[in-house]
Amino acid sequence: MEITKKIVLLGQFGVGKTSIARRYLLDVFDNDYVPTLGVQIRKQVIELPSGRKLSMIIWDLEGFSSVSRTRSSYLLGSHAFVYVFDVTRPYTYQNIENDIKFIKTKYPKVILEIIGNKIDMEDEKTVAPLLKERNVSVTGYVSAKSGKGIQDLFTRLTQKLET
Amino acid sequence: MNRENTFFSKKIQEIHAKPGGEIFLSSDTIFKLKEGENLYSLHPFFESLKHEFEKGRIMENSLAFPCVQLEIHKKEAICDITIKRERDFLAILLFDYSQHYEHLHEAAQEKKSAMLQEREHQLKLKYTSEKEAYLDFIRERIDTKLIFEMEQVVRKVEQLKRSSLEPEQREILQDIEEIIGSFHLRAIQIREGLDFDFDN
Repeated sequence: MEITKKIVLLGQFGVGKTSIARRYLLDVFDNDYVPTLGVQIRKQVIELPSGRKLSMIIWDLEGFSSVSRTRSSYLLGSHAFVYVFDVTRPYTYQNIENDIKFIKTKYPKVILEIIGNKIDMEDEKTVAPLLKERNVSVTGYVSAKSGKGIQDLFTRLTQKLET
Repeated sequence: MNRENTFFSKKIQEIHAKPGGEIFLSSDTIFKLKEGENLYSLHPFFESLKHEFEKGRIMENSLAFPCVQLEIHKKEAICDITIKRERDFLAILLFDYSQHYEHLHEAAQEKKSAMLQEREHQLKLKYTSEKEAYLDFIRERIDTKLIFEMEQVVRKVEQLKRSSLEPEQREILQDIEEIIGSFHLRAIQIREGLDFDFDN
């Protein structure tokens, strides 16, 4: 039996949402930055340890300044959100508390991963204490460029989605 | 007038499907679909909404999904999608805005590129000003902690030279004077070296 789960990538422009999706789905990385317009949807079917098949449908949304401004139809029927920020640009996590609060209030049942990308350029140790002070529980740090942490992120998501 | 030949009629496709996904009507203007084909197999966009549409709830308002990048039967189009759940079927409207969005895409990329250049410029300015402030700090430290202190030592040596000293003491004093003189010169050279632009 195949189960279908919708995963939405959220975050500001240029934080690397598309790069994360491409690294996970195609194992590629492109240095050229092409902003995503609207939504790009990709699918990955994986076999779970239980033998069941999981169809992960990844919605890669265009960047936003605040998650509250994202069209609610895009978020309809989501099973997981991956909120991405860029560890090299404080601007991309400036409003993170408000965004997280909005997500948790409006979508309390949806799994949430908070991910810092581009750790190939900035040590996560410089960012992590700042966010901890602000009570933001970052669930992982990744680099779409090197691939570090990407597989772990989706393995973790898969496990959460299966239960 | 033949509706088939109008410009916009070729840009809008209407699809009707049963809640289970079976397509029973399609105007085929953007994507050619076969009768009986399953809506949820066309593209992951529809598949990810299957659960919502199968719930059987009638939607009071239609759902709008702007700017969705679709690829169906190897044909790509960027569409605005409107979906309405009726009692027994789903009514889907696709608006092909590929040209419009592709132009927007270029515009967005140009805007983003300009923003990144602006940011690069700001960072360069910040870097230059911070570098200058740091170099000023180092220069000031060299002046006060090294050059000034060494000049004090030189003054003391001069005082000692004017006192009555044994020849052996005078030789040692000369050695000290030479060593201090050499350090003083090096400190000045280092200080002047900081005025050199290491970035170019």
